[in-house]
Amino acid sequence: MPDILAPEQTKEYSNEELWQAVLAQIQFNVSRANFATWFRNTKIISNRNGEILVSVPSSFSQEWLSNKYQSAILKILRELDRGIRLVEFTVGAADETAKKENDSARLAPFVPPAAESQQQFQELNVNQKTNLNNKYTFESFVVGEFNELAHAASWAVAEAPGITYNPLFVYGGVGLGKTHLLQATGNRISGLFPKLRVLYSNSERLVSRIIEAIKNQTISELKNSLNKIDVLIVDDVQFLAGKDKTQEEFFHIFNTLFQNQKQIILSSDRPPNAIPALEDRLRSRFEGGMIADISFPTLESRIAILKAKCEQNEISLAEDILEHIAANIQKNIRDMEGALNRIAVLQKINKTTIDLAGAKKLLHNSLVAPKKATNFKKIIQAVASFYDLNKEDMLLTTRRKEIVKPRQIAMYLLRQELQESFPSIGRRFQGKDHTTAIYAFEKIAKKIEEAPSLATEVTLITQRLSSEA
Amino acid sequence: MKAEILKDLFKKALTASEKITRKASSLPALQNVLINAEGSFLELTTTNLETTVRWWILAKIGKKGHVAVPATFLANVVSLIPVEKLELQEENQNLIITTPDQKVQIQGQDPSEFPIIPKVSKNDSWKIDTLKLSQGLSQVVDVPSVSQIRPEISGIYLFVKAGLLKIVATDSFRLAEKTIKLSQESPREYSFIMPQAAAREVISIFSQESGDITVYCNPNQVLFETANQDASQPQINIMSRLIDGEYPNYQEIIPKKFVSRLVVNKEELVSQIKKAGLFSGRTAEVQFSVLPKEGKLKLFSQSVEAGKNEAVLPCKTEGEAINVSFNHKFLLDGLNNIKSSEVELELSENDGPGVLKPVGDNSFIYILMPVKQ
Repeated sequence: MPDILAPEQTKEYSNEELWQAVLAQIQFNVSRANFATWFRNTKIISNRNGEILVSVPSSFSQEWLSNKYQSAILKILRELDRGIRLVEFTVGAADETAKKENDSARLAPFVPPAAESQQQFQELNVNQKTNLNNKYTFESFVVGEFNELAHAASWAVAEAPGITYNPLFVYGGVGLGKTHLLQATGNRISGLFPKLRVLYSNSERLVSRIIEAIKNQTISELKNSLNKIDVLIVDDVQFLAGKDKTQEEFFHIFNTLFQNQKQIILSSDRPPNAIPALEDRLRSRFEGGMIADISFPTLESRIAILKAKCEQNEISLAEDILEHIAANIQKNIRDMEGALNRIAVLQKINKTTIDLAGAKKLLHNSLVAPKKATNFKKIIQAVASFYDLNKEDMLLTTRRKEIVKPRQIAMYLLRQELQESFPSIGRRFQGKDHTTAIYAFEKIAKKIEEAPSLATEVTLITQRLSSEA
Repeated sequence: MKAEILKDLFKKALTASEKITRKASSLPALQNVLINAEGSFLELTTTNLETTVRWWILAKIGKKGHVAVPATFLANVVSLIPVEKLELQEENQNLIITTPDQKVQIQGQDPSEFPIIPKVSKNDSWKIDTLKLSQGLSQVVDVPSVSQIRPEISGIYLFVKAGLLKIVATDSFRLAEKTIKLSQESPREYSFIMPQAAAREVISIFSQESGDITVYCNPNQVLFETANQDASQPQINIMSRLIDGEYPNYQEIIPKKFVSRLVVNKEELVSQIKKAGLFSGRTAEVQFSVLPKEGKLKLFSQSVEAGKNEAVLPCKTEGEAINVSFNHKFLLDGLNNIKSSEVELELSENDGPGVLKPVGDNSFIYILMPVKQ
């Protein structure tokens, strides 16, 4: 039971009380300027066996205090506690509270003083250890029925990493918020569990690290360092396609982490079974946990996203303009935000409020551009890269199965996207007959109706076309 | 204290050291220069507790001792004494300067009030050419903006590895990196962030010196010291506090690929950007269009207030046609630090950064983010 009536002589002073007593007495023997310069941000950080350690902000204070005030300070301390024998000074890291303020300031994204349209190096907001960008949070992520499964799964993973869903695989088209969701999950885990080591990497970066490690024969060091991670987040894993050696190393890393119940979060622009040239054992690992997709947002969700964005950036725009943007850009949230920014910037520069007609005029170019910009070359390119083929292979006269299907899809897209005539499509493929083109078109059109997997593939290719244009 | 000294050496040292004492401070002693006579040297010290400048000048010492007098005041007085040799003497904390036909007495202050300069351990060091260091620093020193939010990027980052020094600065919109070969291989890697003001002192003081400089790295301090064998030259040392924190992994910012690359005459580009800047209005935005077929670079700017400006420059191009807009001030800042007659500009798509480099010189790179169109 604590004795509240204990006599004063036995009172134990806390470090703060001791130092406050020192400062209170010292101030009478020192000029104000000296006191303010040399005693600011000083404090006792430890008191062990009568040895007092005082942290000071700079080496100058350290020199000054230990040369000029050491005995005076020791005398005051000994008056309070006879057990104190020694006082020493050390240059400490900045004051704890100052440091904390700094940290919280660092978490807030840096606000540019110049025009909003001036772009910044995003890399500077990236955390050194986790590689996460702190601008991505769950708070700024707009949830709609198109992404609620992915959002809920990510949220659950963030609450209990390594336990709920492992691995978590999120897929969806370009510019729909996969990266935002993955990074927000990582940031939330870092916030909730500061001790867990989180690492975010896009797969291109991971591939180059693995390749470099193989080249420098440091692969075991790389694996060791990755195996110490508690949460591994890999964005855009479809880039692993066709990179066999990397896939093998990644498979081992994946296994070690997984066996130790470390959380793994992956994203891709398509489901695992649609990633070409992916080793089966890796595919089955990817499919082993939770797979969540992000589809296209509905009109309502798109308007909600625009409104959230307006609120974030303090943009005020008429409702009908937002509706116009949302109605016309349907498949890419990033493009939609781009359009919104353009109007906002123009409004800011001209200091006028833009009406719907003005917005329509401004956006006209970007809205119609994607259709115009698609051409034969881009379609071939998109299809070839989707199926991990060379452009030249697509034009070969061959009946190899892995080429026939992509070729038919290319023909289908030429018809669908560019409204090319069948004879002209035929001529583009080594002078094939127009009936071949018709057959291809009808076959793919029919299969899209029947097989959802093919439908997904074709949508993803079209998406890439519009995002690249 | 009693000493005889050559006026020019004394004057040069005072002019160089008094600048840092002008920074307003609550501690009156910081306005002073501490003059210390010992051995065959007169030692001058000034400090603002962030940067400390010390000079050792060869002098004939009659009696050792020290005196602290206001630095700027002393510098002004000395520059108006037109003789070759000065006799300095301390009396009741005042400084008396005598020449055959002049005598001044400057009111001093208690020298024991002057800060005690911390010792820097000399275990870890590397060497670099003085001129190269001050020129290199001057190419990046103006990039950072004073920001309390991100103290680590408000300073200049110095990084020594494999016999090379890299000097880096950024303000989050642009980044400059200068690479300099060390005079002597350093066995270890070093990196630290020094305050912009200290870097400016290093530039202004060392740009007039020659030979090598030794840089000593401590956890809280860095010390730059001239290593002159010739005792008739003053020995100078500048010590600076370091900025606490980790510098961002800036290598990530340097683009690995580009959509369009062009080589253009620097002077023409500078004058066209200046002209375009006049028309750019408040956004400071100048649009660059690369026309690879014509081998041309088109600059365009406009504003409601000023009007429109369009100019076409001949250039060598590689890659695709592209449109990118930049802040003209940021461009000029980069170009002003490029000495070559031709300059290389690499551009990327989707609001990716642009890169400026001198042609035929890999040691400098300036990266800047575009203005969103």
